[in-house]
Amino acid sequence: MGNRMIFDQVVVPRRYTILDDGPHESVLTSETAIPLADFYELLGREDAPSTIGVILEPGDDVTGLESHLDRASFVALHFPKFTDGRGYSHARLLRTRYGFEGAILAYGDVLRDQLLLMHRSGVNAFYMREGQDEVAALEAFNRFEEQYQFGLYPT
Amino acid sequence: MYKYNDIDKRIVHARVDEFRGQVRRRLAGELAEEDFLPLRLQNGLYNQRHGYMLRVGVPYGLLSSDQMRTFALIAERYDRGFGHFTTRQNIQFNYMELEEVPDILGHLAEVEMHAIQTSGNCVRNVTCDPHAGVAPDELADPRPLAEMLRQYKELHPEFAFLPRKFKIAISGAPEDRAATFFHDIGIQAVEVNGELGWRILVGGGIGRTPRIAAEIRDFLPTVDVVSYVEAILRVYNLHGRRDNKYKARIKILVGALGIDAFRDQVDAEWEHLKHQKLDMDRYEQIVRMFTDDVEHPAEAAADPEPSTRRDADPEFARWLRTNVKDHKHPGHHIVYISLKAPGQPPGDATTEQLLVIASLMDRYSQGRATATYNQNLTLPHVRTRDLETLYDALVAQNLATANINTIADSICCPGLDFCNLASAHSIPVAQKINERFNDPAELEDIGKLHLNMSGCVNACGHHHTGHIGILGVDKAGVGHYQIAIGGNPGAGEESPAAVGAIIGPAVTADEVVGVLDNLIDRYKAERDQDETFLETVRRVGVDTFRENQNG
Repeated sequence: MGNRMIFDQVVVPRRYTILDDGPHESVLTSETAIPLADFYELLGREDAPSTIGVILEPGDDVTGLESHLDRASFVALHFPKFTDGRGYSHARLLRTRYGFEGAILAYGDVLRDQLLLMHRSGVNAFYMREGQDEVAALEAFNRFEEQYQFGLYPT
Repeated sequence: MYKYNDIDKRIVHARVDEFRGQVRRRLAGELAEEDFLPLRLQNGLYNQRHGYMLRVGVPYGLLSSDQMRTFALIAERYDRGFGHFTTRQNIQFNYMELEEVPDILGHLAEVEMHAIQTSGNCVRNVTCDPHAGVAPDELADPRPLAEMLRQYKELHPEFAFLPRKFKIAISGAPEDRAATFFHDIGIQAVEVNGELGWRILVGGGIGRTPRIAAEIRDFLPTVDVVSYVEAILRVYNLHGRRDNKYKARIKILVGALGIDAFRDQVDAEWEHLKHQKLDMDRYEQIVRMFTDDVEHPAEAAADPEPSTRRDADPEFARWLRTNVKDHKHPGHHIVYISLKAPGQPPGDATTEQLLVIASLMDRYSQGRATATYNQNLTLPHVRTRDLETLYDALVAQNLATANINTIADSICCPGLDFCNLASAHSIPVAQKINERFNDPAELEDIGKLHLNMSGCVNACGHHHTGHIGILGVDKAGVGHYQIAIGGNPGAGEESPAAVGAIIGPAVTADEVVGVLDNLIDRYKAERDQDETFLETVRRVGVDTFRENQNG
């Protein structure tokens, strides 16, 4: 299971590389993600790839990323503990306020029982915690036909 | 009251099915306890001293008789024959079997109830003035707004893992009966230049660090309240502390930034959200749901007063004075059902009591009751002509103790008898106090006095806000009790919300009643005519009472 991911509600092989220690000597492509500080540093370099993945830790400032999202191929949201809910707000802001259309990947302590919440917040790719069954977890997406927050605002 | 539409029903049933699957995985060993913990908490399930406790949500405290009967069913079939009403206007059942909880949630779903987000680090039950909708002094019924907020916060994907729990209260009246100053967000109806709207408070709380909320907005029209709450929640979710659970409530964030800087952050966030105007057609539709299913005929004003009985029966007369409150409509009354009979654990109701209350709701209160902040129930639509027969029916069930808003009407947490966190017993001490102050004539003479007791610093009994507040502490294995006076949960012109001040060293359980006797004696000596205990404390100062305890 360690080599599988959920992408748009389908189980597929993992395609992204998370370089959470920083890029070091790695080859950087649009499918590698590096920490936010490294991402900012890379933007100014001439040999930088046109787009690259960027890691957001729970404590990172997502607002500063807005003007650089054209260089982000995807955003990897780190959930060190599943009970830390900051990543949900990051996903929400990326999708609804900044209009980010690339993949948003949740990785780390990502569990079946939180998939729907993450999906509804804007996450579409999941690297689940070791030992989680991605195929069994897919039922989370179909558990609810509708959601609360209906009918609050005129449609 | 609000009736579920098909979407509500499908969501709540789907939620039961979801939890059933999670429980099955937990029991099969596929789900570890630490991963299951937040899931069960957000379905109202705690693990306490005697096993699982289930807390059922009662939105803004409003109940139908069918819902009350379902509580009786749960108490009888799945618990040990009683339920416990809480300060959040909810009800708890203390002896649950994990594998039965999904079935219980299924019973609740049938009567449009659930236990979603009654615990956990999420937005909890939105509480309201227990007199909502029928209070004579009300500017606006707070329940339609509370219902819109319920629909907003229920299973909100972004705010299931906040830094800490989050509580909202709404008051629609100038006299604050919802303790809005002691909530993460407090909302108060206000009228400015003839326009009705809402004042927003933030950062109040009790617990280890009591704080009185600060005003973040003096006025918001109804259309903007939900989006403004979202702005507060997002700022809190992103910036509230997560390194220390005792510093994680929003009051700490507001305190660290200061209300002005916090407001700047919220307003900056709200700039992006304020285009989301609440659907006022739907709001008005919900308003009508609360008014259309109850009626208050004008002819009730001509109902005969129970004067013969009142003149002949001083106990009945006292009950009328103490447990029956003014109503917005002539000939109608708000009748309190006291769950504080002498010797009873505060807030408890037995299966039989729940069933009798359900039939009294149908017969005398148009099928409605309200769970109150002070752990009693009300019948909110009782006609004058029915007061006498209702009184007799309540007496027969030991539900007519004339002690509402007196020292014997204490708010009390479950304490060491049930709770894993507790440092000391609270229920037995409350019972002692209740037994000492059981003379109705004396209670009436002492008058309005809120006594609150918590079995530990987490303050579930809201001891900080009691006119007399008692905190249980553990001293070398022996429960001791720290006593404070001068707290005040509500706010009005003359009596602002306040946190109590400690009057002396902690005492043992056996000494508590003696200290209370001294406090009451001093109050009687100092009071000016019909001044309440709190008014006297505020006028003469806490020190007067301190000397009294030491001397």
